[in-house]
Amino acid sequence: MGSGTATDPFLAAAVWTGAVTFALTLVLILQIGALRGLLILRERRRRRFAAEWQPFVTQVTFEDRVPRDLPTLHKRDIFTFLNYWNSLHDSLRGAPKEKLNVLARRLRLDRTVWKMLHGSRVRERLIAIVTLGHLRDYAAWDTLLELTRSGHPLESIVAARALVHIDGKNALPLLLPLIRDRNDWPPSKIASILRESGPDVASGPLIETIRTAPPAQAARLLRYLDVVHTEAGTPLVLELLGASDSDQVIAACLQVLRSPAGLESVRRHTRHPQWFVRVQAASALGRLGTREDMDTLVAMLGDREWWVRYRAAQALARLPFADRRTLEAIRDGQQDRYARDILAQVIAETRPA
Amino acid sequence: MSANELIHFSEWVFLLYFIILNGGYITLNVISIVGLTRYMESSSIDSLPQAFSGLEPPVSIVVPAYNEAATIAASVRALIQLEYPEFEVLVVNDGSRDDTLEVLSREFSLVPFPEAYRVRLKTKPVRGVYQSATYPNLRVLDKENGGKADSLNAGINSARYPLFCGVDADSLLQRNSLQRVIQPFLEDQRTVACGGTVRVANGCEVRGGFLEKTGLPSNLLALFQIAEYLRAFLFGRMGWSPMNALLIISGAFGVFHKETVIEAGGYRTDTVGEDMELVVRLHRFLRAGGRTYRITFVPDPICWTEAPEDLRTLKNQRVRWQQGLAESLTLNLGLLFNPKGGTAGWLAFPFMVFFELLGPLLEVLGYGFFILGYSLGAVPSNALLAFLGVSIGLGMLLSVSALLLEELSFHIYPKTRHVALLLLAAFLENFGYRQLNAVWRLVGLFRWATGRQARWGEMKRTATWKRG
Repeated sequence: MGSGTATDPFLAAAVWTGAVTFALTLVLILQIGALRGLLILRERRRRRFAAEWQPFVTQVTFEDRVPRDLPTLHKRDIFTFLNYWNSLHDSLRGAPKEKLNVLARRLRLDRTVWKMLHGSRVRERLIAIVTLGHLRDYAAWDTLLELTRSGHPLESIVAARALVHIDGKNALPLLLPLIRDRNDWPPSKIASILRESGPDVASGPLIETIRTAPPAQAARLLRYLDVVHTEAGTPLVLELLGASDSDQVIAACLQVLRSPAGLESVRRHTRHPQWFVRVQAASALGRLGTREDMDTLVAMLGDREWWVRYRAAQALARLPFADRRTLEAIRDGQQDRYARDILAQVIAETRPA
Repeated sequence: MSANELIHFSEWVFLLYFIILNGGYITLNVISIVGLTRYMESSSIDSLPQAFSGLEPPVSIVVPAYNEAATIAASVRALIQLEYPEFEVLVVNDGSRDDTLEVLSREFSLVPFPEAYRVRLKTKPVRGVYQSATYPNLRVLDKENGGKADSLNAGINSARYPLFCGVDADSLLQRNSLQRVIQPFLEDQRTVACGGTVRVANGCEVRGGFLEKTGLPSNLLALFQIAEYLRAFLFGRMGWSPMNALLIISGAFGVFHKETVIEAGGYRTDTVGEDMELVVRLHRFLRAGGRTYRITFVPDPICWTEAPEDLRTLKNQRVRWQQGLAESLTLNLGLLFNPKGGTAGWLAFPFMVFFELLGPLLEVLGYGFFILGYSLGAVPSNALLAFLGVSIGLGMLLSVSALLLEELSFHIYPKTRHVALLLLAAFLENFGYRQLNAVWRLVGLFRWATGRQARWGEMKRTATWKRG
């Protein structure tokens, strides 16, 4: 009955499957053992490296000059060294960074990272890119620029940051078209690049790029004006507020507007048909508004959109002359339940009893 | 067909089923190895300080709480200490019958807060909203009991930020958990949901609500569950995520784009698998609308949970999970083989139906057939042994491959003897534990099919880790 002899195909299939399975399992167990062994060795090396190199490198940053005699840096410790070196670089300012660069060159790491840059391992290429940026190695410029155009989002943005470290003034005009066009670069990373460049370097190219960008990209780029804290963008913002027919652009302009010169435009947009424009207009009035804008904001408390009501209430609370008593009086005078509720919430948030 | 032919045919059916099922898992495993290796390589750069931060979207953390008086204060205190630029914590007291609200009020100096509460998702009435006087980013919603899904919906109504994170009250997070799980939203703006790996906290040391040191439990059931969780997360989810076919994000910890969830209708309150049902429905809703989106997964161990250590609690959990799975799939049958369904509708959904949902039926029938057949003399001993060899062998292969993935990636168990113990567990779990699970899942399937209401039940908490 059922499967009987050893030549039975069912038995043969089952036996072969079982045999292959057990063999594979054994191979995996051996692999796990090998990985664990490697991990233990790596951990021991890391501890040895930390004991020998970390105090030395830290000391170098405080000394007047890099010592002539250096400990031996083994090939297997290079990645760990570069990780530590780069993290130290990111946390220091001024002369100590130069000393780290001298140390790296004395250890010939500037040549080593070139080889890593052209290697096959992603993590080695990434650390090489970061290192070249910190070393401000101009010879890497063209290679890094090429990498910023690659399809690998992380490599490309790390390369962008490295270029900014090498020469922000010349890098940004080359990077801004990519910032404009690439959707795979996270806004937070772009913001870091612009912030690191500094307002003097970033403002001009950013403003020019916004001016010539299509509306969807312009709206996205406008938000970075806040990141670089530049007032140089105000004329463009005012121009766009008056001339643009893109609701997204108008909303973005209102979001970054810091100049009272735009107040009339802000007031006009409190009646905009799109709720997300009215939201930004309400917030802008909170920053720039005068006493005569209180009525407008009070009226916005009854807007049909929750977020408009909320921002209007917050804007009222931000006005310097609106103390708790004033706000409570406004609240108590509202016939609209939604207006009363939202202002009550904001009073509780901003003026705790 | 003669009896002999029928038996022979059945032998083949069961053997092929096991081979195809495990072949599917092995394929997911291979995809996971590639994905995990790439992820670990890329993550190496994130260990550098100032690895780009700023402009991260603010997050509302929603914590449903029902009868959590014993542990809620420690849980909330830990959440408040998460390392993230801007977030709020919303605890939703779901009509607890114990002192949950009183504990929160005392520990966090709650005062009544006149919130302009928006009802975008219908829920049971909210009785009051409270704000902490000491932690301005902590609010507590007190509502009538309506269940976990109802509480999550109430939290979504109150959430101020574009992303919300659903967290179980007893989940243990790491300080950078939120940072890690938000990354996909920063890297790809099509992302609407992201989950992370949930690990078993039993045997670990916990201080101040955070995991301080990993360890292994002495309880065998908990040990088996570690191997299970590794399988489920490291290749179960890691395998589906690159294909945008991930059908489940654990309710213990997952981040969602709030407006998308509201558009899709929020959490359903008539299922015990509300976490999976929402994700499946998001796929169905977004694909039907022709929208590009991503539902993804970060393999980092960012959430830890206590696993049941007694058979009764474990059984209730597995029965409930299977019922939840059945509900989630049948409530969204429109996705199955839908022309717009993509990989979710044409690969993941059928896989879930034929292997996860109906799988226990075939597994139990398979074991039953061979064992009963052997005892009745209908199945020869060599056939029985061959079948057991294949079914148990494939199970061991999958468990060991999950351990390999763990060693390739996070190797969070520092001691070599931990690895040895886990290998032993991976071996032993195939001699009874997996089979018992199949039976429980079959019970769950049966209860769903007969329309029996699933129950959450009470978990016997042993807290075998040391609490600080």
